[in-house]
Amino acid sequence: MKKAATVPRKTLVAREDLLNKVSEIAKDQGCSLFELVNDLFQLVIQCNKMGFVLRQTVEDCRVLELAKSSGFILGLERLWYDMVDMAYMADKSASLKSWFDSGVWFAARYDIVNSESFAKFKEELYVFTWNAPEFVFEHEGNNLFVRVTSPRFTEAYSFLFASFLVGALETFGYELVNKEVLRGMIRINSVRNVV
Amino acid sequence: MTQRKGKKLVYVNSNLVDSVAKASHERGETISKFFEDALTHAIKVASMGCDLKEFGQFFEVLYAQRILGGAFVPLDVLNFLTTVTFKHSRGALSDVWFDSGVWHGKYLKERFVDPVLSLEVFLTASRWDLSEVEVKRFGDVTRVRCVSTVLSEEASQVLSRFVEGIMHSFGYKLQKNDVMKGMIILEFSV
Repeated sequence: MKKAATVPRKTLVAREDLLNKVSEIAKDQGCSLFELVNDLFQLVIQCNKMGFVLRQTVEDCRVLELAKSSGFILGLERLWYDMVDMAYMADKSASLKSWFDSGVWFAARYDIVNSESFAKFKEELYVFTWNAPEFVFEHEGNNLFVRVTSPRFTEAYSFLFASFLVGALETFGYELVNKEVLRGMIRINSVRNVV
Repeated sequence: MTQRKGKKLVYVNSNLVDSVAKASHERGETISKFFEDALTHAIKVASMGCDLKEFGQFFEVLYAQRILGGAFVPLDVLNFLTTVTFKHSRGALSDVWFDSGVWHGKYLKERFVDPVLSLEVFLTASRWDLSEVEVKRFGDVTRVRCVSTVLSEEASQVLSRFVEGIMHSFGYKLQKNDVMKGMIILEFSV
């Protein structure tokens, strides 16, 4: 019988509750605690080589999970802009309606009567607009001002994304007061309908 | 495994411990603190439903997308954009998807030792509208198969052009192309 190669080992100490939990995960995944901890260390080294810490990578990967459950898809920004420009040129009103409807759908996923939902909506929207250097929501009484700036947005994308935002805000009960849209810049002023 | 005051000892591959000790030292943390943080994150990763190896691959994809200028778009909007542009500018649409594939392909080729295999991870991690992605080699032929229950005819067509663009960057030529609603089967050879 061939003798199994022995891997040189060291021991490390860690909190018992954490190790017990990780041990359960290893069992669920059909591997040993030794294998799982080694995989974990390999991941830490991989992240380190790329200039990241594990905490940051876990948070970043949660973005993918969040996008998946929120009906968003990830792709090359330039490709989206090219498609948006073509669609906007081909059928402007249908394009605007499509983005507006998508904004309504996105906002309707939240419990809109719960005040904490709007904060969650904003937080998740920030995540999905990592391509916009400035994305600000400012509340002033019942008024809400939204500012989006990105030098990369095309004119068509600016108008369509503004339509998405208006759709989402209306779903949360904000009525549009006025909006200003230019290439790479969106300014929306809306007021909350108080019943 | 020895037990002591709420702490436990665990065996780890010696070489890996040395590398991680170096990383923790660079960050000004003790290896124990670093290790416990890593365990906490391993638990979070498991709660996301993936194992650590899958997580590492997904992270590489996310990192690549950030470098390449990735952006999120609502899936319904993407479907709308595809349908409208396919109807009005089919040729131009096909070209932009192919060019985007070439762009991605060049990056994957530089970044991964086996870029063809990385394509499977890349598509799985970034196109969650696909229910199945398979990249397989059969001798000189490489077959890419994507299946989706939600992909329209138009979306299938443009995605196939994207994959063609990527494989073109890797130096592969399209040999067979079988694309229909929700199903893409492409075969390439060098």
